[in-house]
Amino acid sequence: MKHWKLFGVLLLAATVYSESARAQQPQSQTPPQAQTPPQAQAKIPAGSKVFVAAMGGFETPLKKAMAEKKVPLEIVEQREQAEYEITGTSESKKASTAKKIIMKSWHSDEEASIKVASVKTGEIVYAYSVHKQDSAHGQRSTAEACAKHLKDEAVAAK
Amino acid sequence: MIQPRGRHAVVALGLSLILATIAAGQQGKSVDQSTKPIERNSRIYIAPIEGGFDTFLAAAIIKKQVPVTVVTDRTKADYEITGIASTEKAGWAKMLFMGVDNSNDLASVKVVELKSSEVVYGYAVRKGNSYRGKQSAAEACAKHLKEKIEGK
Repeated sequence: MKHWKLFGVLLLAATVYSESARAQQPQSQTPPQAQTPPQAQAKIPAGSKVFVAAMGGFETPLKKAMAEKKVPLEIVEQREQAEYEITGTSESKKASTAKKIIMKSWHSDEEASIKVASVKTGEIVYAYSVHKQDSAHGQRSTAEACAKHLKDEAVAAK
Repeated sequence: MIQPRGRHAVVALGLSLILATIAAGQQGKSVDQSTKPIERNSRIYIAPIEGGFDTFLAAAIIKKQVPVTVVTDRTKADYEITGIASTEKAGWAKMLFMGVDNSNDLASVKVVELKSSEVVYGYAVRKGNSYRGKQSAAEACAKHLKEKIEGK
């Protein structure tokens, strides 16, 4: 009997602590935890030719997002034709069974990071990373965040 | 009713659980044994790091306005950053008891002066409850690198 009471108290304490931790946690659908590189000044002239290197499949949603967000850069298929090269990495973590049951969330956690380097000088002119928990649209969300920030922060207006 | 002795045990267990949780979320410490400075505006090459951490580190260096130029060609660099990074996903117990599914992130970087092959700076960080994953660890590395360069 005593053991059951002890177990009950421990479970109650754990639940209270869990709820308080959850309350401190930012909501999953709040604006993305995107990072704004303050150093990123408009360094890439609009209309520059960029080559998007392979990033384990992330290059496809990134190219699509760049087109959707109307990033004023020309995407080329050959690296030799490009003035800038976009490289990066992306990781997608699907919701585990535990997350689905305990957190009641089916959405994946996404993170991506890109860097834009000048092909001629090899200097990295812009870089951006984003982490989205419970991403509603998976890789599309991170790709769009990258494209949006690339357009707003790295590309100079004509 | 729970006996006073048992009550003390429950309180102790609860406190241990909370303290262990808090301790698990603490960050790592800087490992800096070299007095040699890293020159401002020097050119730094970031070697590929497992899991694409090098890209996150480049983004963090720009975000934190570290006064260096990151280059993609090692032969044009004055310094090279190498390191390791790992991410551990939250287990069911963490989700159940803490109500969070943040990962544990670990990263360690070292800066080598290419001319002398001397390790001029090293930093290790562990984020026990990292909300932004690799990004948090990368930004911690960049922040401390900036402090080293600025001599703070």
